Parts: sequence; structure tokens; C-alpha cells
Amino acid sequence: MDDDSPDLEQKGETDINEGRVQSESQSKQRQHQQPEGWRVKLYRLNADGSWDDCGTGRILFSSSAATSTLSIQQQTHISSSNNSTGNPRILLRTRILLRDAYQRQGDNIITWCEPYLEEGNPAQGVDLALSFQDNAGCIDIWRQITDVQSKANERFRLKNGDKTGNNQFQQRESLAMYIAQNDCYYLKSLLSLFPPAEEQGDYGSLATLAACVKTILLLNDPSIIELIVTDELVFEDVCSTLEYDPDLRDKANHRWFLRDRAKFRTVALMEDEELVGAIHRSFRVNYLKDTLLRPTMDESSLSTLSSLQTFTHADVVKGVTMSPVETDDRGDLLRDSYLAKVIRILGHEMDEICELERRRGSLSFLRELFNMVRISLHQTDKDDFFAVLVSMEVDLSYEKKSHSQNMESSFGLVLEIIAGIAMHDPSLIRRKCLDFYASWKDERTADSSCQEMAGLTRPRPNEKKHVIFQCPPNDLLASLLFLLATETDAGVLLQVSEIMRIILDTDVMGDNRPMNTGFADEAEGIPPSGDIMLQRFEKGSYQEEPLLHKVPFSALRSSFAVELLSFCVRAHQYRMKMYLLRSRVLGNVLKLIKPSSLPRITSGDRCLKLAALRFLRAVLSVDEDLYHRHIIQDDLFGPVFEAFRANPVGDNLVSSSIVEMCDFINSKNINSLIEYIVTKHLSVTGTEAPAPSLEDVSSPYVNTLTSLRHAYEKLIYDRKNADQNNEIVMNEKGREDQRKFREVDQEENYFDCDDDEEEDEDETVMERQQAPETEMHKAPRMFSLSQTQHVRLEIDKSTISEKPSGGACM
Amino acid sequence: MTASSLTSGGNSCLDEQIERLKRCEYLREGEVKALCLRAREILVDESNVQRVDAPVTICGDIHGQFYDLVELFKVGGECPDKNYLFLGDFVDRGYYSVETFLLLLALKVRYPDRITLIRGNHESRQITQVYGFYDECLRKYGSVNVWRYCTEIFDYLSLSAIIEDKIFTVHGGLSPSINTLDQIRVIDRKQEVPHDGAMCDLMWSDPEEIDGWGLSPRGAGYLFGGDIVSMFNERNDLDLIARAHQLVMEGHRSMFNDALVTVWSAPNYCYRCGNVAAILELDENLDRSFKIFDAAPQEARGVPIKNPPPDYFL
Repeated sequence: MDDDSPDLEQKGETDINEGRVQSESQSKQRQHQQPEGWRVKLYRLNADGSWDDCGTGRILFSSSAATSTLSIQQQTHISSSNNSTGNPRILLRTRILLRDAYQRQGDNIITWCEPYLEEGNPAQGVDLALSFQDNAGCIDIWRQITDVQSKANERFRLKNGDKTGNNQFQQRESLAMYIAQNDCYYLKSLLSLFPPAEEQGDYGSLATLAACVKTILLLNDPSIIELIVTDELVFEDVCSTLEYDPDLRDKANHRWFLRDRAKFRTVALMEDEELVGAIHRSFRVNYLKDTLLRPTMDESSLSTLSSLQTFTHADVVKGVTMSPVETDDRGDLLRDSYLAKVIRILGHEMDEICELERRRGSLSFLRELFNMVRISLHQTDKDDFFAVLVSMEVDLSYEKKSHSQNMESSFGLVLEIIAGIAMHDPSLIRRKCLDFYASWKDERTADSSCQEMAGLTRPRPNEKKHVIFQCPPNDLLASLLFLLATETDAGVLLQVSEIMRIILDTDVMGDNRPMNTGFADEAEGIPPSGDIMLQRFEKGSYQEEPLLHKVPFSALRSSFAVELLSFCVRAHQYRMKMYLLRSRVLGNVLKLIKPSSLPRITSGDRCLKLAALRFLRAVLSVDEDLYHRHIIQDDLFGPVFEAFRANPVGDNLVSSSIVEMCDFINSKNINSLIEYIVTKHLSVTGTEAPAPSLEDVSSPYVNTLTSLRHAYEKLIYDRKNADQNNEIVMNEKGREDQRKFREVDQEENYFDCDDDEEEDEDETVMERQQAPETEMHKAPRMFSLSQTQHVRLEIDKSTISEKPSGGACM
Repeated sequence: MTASSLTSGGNSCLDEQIERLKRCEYLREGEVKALCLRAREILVDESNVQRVDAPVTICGDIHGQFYDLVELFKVGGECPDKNYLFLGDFVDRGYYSVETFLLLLALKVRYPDRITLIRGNHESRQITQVYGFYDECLRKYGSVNVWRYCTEIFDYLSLSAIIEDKIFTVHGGLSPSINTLDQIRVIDRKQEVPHDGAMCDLMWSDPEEIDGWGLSPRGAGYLFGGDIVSMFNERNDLDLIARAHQLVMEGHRSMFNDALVTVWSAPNYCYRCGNVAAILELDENLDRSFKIFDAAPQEARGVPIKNPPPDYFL
């Protein structure tokens, strides 16, 4: 087998399909190596259709740089004495054909059509037959032929853009088996050809070599790929070879990347050799999968790499979270896992700049870990997650402090980790927040005179990883709310509101009740922040002065807050009802969509308007009489239709969401709202009508408003009918209305004395409720309010997370 | 454009980004964020049935086959020179969803009146988590923020377009709950693609040689027959429905006496289907002609820009 060693591929030959007659000198060499051959008789099909005997000889298989040949030498008995005829007569010298030309007949015969025998007449093929003396000879030569063919086939397939690859699954299998033999001897020998080829700048060969290696990778064979990613040297060689992948327009630079760029870093000493090995392996798997094979690969041919990826990830996660056992004289000692070490680093307060890097490293580590967990395994020890989570608020508040000087916000990292936890199991974070809330409450009742949270200090999670439980933790929720109320970066806002949404989404959870209500309490922290922003926002537009440059960012931020409100309206119907009706926040939000409300606004303006409309839509979707009454009382559709009228484009997202709202009201038959809209807004035109009627505005696009009016007319008609024909119905309706109002009052009363414990909360809510109403038009005071707010931003960054909730900022 | 103060001065920067994207280099995370913010302001002003003027070239699914998109522009003409209408499914399946979507989005922001993007069923948080876009973002950026920004934009994409009041274009097809274009205008589109209802159907339905409506084997949307199409076209005074969503080996296929056409623009779909791709060119008079193209030649594919983060901890 040594003969068909990889030097077969070495010369980047292009003549794969051309026949070539072996030179005499070469054949002489062969004689020395292989004096004996299988005894065989050669036949040739003549024009009559019968076989001519062309003589008997010994058949030799030989393989050289570019070709594999079969040759038959006639036996000479007197060669030693007669030098002039010393060379045996060659009966046949033929290059092995790479296509499927050969057939076996019986045990001892191989036949084929030889196209190149007669020079000068290549078009004319000649049928030849080999009749072996021994069956073993026949099998041996047959095997040589098929070997050559299958290998060439692979190369051929590559050169032709994989178009002939549909045929041989089995061939693939056997080829893979062959290559995997002897610890991938074939692959290794192939790779050993790379350095000389590169040295000589033989690009043809390099391309062929790359194609071969790639083909081997695409064979998708576990043992081959396993070897490549496990053996560092082989991996490097494979990558070097692949730099010349002919599918790439330019040469790749894998070695440079692997050698100079890719750096494996540790934030703490990693002692576990096995873990380090697993990490490297997983890196190689990723690298192969993502980078080397990307331009041409077919996902299915990567299944092995993909599953290998999963396995290596599992190894890494296990290695990171497992606590190594150390045995010394005192017995078994459980040492910290690597994860615990990293968390401990994060737990420390580090103020020196040089430590910042380390801290970021730790965060990056955690992020990678979380991604790994998320991609590859879905059930990981919750305790470990919890440990990570617990240390998290420390950094969150910390990062805030260093945010300004930090070149690249590591917020993103922290938030992503929190999001990771939240997505894995939101109850972890919820529990965290509730724990805090509970302990904070205790603290407060214990020392009610104590103002704010002065008594609470930052936890110091040293030595033991559970230390957090011993100290009151920081308030994660408040920190998130703080971000939501102050951040200007769209990315951070998006992340935070996503996290908030996940942890507030208690409905899906079916959590136990105390948790649910407890959390809903917390949920009230959000609306205030929305309020705050709203006020600041309003302020900006009224005031026009120093803070105006912040307005565009506020618009963006406010839109996130308002969207979160919409979410809460749907997810926490009961609590939000109370909150909305008290705070009248809906009305304030809707003021934003008035065309006049936002002069000189640039970014985020439309989106904020849209968010405000969606807030109203969320309220409508709850289909609650209380809300309907609220809407009618405060004429909340006023700004909506004003916006509709002034909408510059007419038929866009803002207008379609307004129209959709009307359509919804119509289809749900919400009579009170239909009546309100039609009488209050649609019929204005008849009397004063300086502006075109709403129906006129909308009719080029949709007839929703017209059908709303029809619905109203029908309603009136039905009522009249009912009046005339059946007074009882009317009474019934009247009675029902009364009943509803009674109910409403009761409900409101119920809210008012909802829960003794919430007294304090209620107070703040009441305050908040007043604020927008009274202060809206007192610009100077608003200004000072904002200023304090602003100052707080600067000063309280480190302590803000210890505040009970956003509401206290007021 | 009210956002003009924001965009002014940003075009040269945008041009540079487009150049980079055309070389299949993806943008930095911060750039994606800014681009998406700008795109949002533009898309929010678009209608659910966006008006498009002829001449225009209609393109079907792209599915992250970046180099084939480059080929498409080669065959059909570069973007500001020609008007384009893309029928959705920009992402998933191919290996360059990020580059593909960002290039189209950047073109949209740069030339808002020259290119129209409408939403396909793959422009969805759920679908992209299964079919590749999510993983690709994670792989290329090491975080899913870019996925977040993009999926946020998906919610703003228009649902359909109408060309010169005569040709209705949509990703999937018709819906039993929609008889008139006005009913599409009433949809509140800024949301994740729902599992049922009008908005879902527009993105999921398929035409089929049946009478009336049928259940879709896809599990979402419906099958609709020629009678439905002719009814819809008559009621809305349309000549043609152009849609994508289904692989056709020859790149395009007309059905129901030319009342509906499917356009497919991802050649050799999934890098293995062996199909050709097509784009539909409409001239000023709405006369139709198809341009067929094949997958980009191997040589045209560049070295993938590596972005496994150079520093790794795991």
C-alpha cells in the first residue's frame, strides 16, 4: 500500500484525464522494486467480435507522481545471457482509467475499453481483457484500480465544483475509513507535503492539497475530525493547508490569526489541565466550523462538527463548574470551582484601573459561559447559576460608576448575562428581587425613622460564595429601573426593557401566589420611572432651554418606558388598572402624540408617538369598562385624532395603528366608546368644521371611521326602537349602567384600602399622581425638579441601586 | 423627512458602510445600532400597503445568500440606478444573513425612495432563532445584540406593496380575513409575526391549484386557489399578485392565467437545491420581463472575514 502514498497528489497535475505513456526509465525502476507480478494473459477484441490472444506476462501495478499504471511484461527466460534483449517486452502499458470503465467477469477476468492504446487514433477505443492465473491476482489488481479511482474521484469532484458528488455515499464511507486508518496516516502524510510545496510557491499543488484536506473534513468522519481538533499540530497544519482553499478569492490567513491574534486568556489561574484541554478543543471545533468551511459548506456535511461542538461545550461547562477535590493529610478538601473563583473576583471592589481589565475579563468569561450553556446544554446546575446571578448586582452598580470612563460599555456584558439568566429561569431573578424587597421592608419597619437606605451597605461577598445571602443584597430591580430612567443608549435600553419584560412576565410562570403579588408590587416601580421620564420630557419641550439637547434621547428612552407600560397593562391587568386610574398616566402619555407637543424633535419622535398609541391600544385590549370610562372622561382620543389629522404622510404606521384601534372598538362593539368617538370627534365637522372631517381625512385609505359612524347610527336606531317597543330593555340597560358604576366605585374603594402593608406605597403613588397634573404647566418648578434629578445622576450613581424603587427619586 | 437633521452629514459615512458591506464585511455593533435607529424612523412612515412607482424590479427570497445578492445587483443593476422591491426573507439558511440584511437596510436608509423592503415570514424573532440568523449573530459578534436590533427593525417592515395601483406584492399570499387592500391598512403591524390572523397569512400563505381555501401544510397561513385570486384582483382592481415564499426551480412561475406570479431570488437555494433564481422587472408601462441568474461563481466568494473574538476565555 505504500506505493500509492500521498505523493500521488503532490504534483498539482492537471492531466488527470489524459493518458500518458510511462517512460522506459521509470519502468526500469519498477522492475527493481517489483520483480514479480501476477501472471496474466492479455486479450484484445478484434473486429470480428472474438478475442485475440496477445501474450502472457506478469502484471505490475505502479504509481508515480501523476499517474498510476498497469504494465505487463512478457516473460523472458534468457535475459541474463542476452543483453541486447535484456529488456523484457512490454505487452501493455496503460494508465488506470479514473472513470468506471473496468468490469470483473468471473473470478479471474477483468475487462475494459482502453481508449488510449493506439496512438494517433485516440477516439477509437480498444476492448481488452486480462485473464489472471490466480484469483488472488485478480482481486489484488482490482483493489488497486478501485483505490486509485476513489481517490481521484474525490479530487475530480472538487475540481468540478462538487457536481458529480451525488453518486457515492458508500465510496465516501470507505474513503473515510481508509483515511482514518493508522491514526490518520494518510492525512498526516498529506499534510507533510504542505511545507515543501509552500516553500516552492507551487500554488497549483497548494490548491489541490487544500481541496483534498477540505474534502477530507467534509467526509464528516468522527474519528478524523476528532483527531484534527485534539492534536494541536495536526490542527495547525490543517489550517495552514486551508489557507490556499481554491474556493477563496484571496488567500486566507489562518496561521496569523491563530498564532498572533487568538489568545486564550484566564482571569484566574486555571489549574485543571483537562479543562484547559477541553477549552482548546472547543475553540478548534468552533474555528473549523465557523471559519474554515464557511464559504462552501453544506450544513449537513458538518453534523459531526456540530455534535462535537456540543460535546466539547459540555466538557468545558462541567470543568468550569466542578469543584476539584484535593486530598491531603486532613482528608478530602473541596476546592473552589473555576467559576467560583471568577465570581469572587467580581465580588471584590476594585477601584484601580488595572483591575478594571480583569473585571471585564471576568464578565467576558461569564458571557461566553452563558452563551455556551444556552447553545449547547439546557440543564445546568441552577445553584451555580444562582451564584453567578447573586454576584451580579455588585457589578451592575459598579459598572455604573465606571461607565463614563469606560471605553466600551461593559454594561452590555452585564446585561447580557442577566438576560441570560432571565431567559434560563426568570424566577431566579424574581426571587432575588423579592428577597431584597422583603429584607428592605424588614429593615424599614425595624427602623422607621431611618431615612432612606442609609443603613444598608454594599455586600462584600468574599471567601464563601454564599456570603451574599448573609448580607442584604443590592436592589437589582431598582438598578434596572435606574438604567431605564437615565440611559441614553438604545442598545442598553433595549436590553434592559427586554430583561424587565422577562422578569415581569409572571403570567406564564404559574408561580406561587405570594411571589406573584409580591412581584406585582415591584412592578409598580416601573410606571413611576415612566412618569419621571415623561415629566423630564415634557419639561424639555416646554422649557426649550438647557436640557433640550437631551430631548432626542429622552424620546427614545420614553418610548421604551411606554412600551413597557403597555406590556404591564396586558400582563398585570389587575394591578395596572389601579395604577393607571390613579396616576392618569395614560392621559399624560397620550399628550405626546399631539402634533404640537414635540417641536423640533428629531430622533425617536415617531416611535414615541407610536409607543404612546400602542399603550392606548393595550388598554383597549383589556376590554374593561373602567378603562372605557376613563378614556371618555378624560377625552383621551382627543390627541389621538389630532395626530391622525396632522399626520404628514397619512397612510403610515401611526395612522394604521389609530385606524386599527377604531376597527377594534367597532368589531368588539364597545358601544360606549363608539358613541363617544362618533359624537365627540366625528361629528364636529357639522358645526364648526374649519378642518376637514376625520372621515374625509381617512377615506382615501380606509372606511373604518365611516363604518364606526354606521355602527353608531345603528346603535341609536336600536335604542330608539327599544325605547318605543320595549321600555324594559332600556331600563335594563340603565340599570346595568348603574350597576357598573357602583361596581367601579366599590372596586376603587377596594383599591384604596387594599392592603395595610402597602400604605407607604400608596402614598408615593398618590404623590406621583398629583405631580404631573399640577406641575405640568409650572415650568420653573419642573426645571428645578429635573435639575435635582440631574444632579442625582451624577452624585448618586453609586448609591442609587440601594434606593427602594424609582419612585423614591421624586 | 423629519429625521433630516439626524441624517444630514451621515450619508458619506453611510456610503462608506455600504461599500464595506458590499465586500461582505459586516458592520460594528455600534454601527448596526445607529443604522437601525435611522431605519426605524424611515420605516415607521411606510404604509402597510406601501406605494411603489414603476419602473421597479421585484425580488423574492434571498435567505442570507450574500454573494448571490451581489450577483442579483450585477444582473439587475445597482441599487440607486434601479428601483428595487424586495419581498422579504432576507435572513436565515444562508451563511451571510447579517451582511445581507444590513446591506439591504443600509441601502434603504441611504435611498429610501429607491428600495422597498417588505416583511417575510423569516423576519421574525421565533423563526430566526431556529433557522440560523440568531446563531449567526452570536457567532459573528459574540453577542446577540445585533440580532436584537435587527429583529426590532423587522417589526417595522411593511407588510405589502402596491405598484402603480395595479400590482400587489406580498411575501406569502392572501388571507381569508382580507378581501380588500384597506383591510391590510388597518393591521397594526408593529409586532412579532403572529401565529394566525391576517398578518400571519400574508406572510405564510401559498397559491395552489384548488378551489377556494385549503389548509396549508406549513402549519400557518392558507392555500388559496385561482378563484380566490381572481376575486381579489377584481375587487381591488389589480392586474397581478407578485409574491415569493416558495422555491421554484426555474426562478419564477406564473399561475392562474398570469394572475399571480411567484418570484424566487435565491439561486442554488441552501447551496444545494440546484435551482436558478429570477427577478421580475417592470417597466414604466408595467410590462413584465424576468431576468434569470445563477449562483455566484466560486471565485466571487471572498475570504470570510473572521470574527471569532481573538480573545477567548472559554
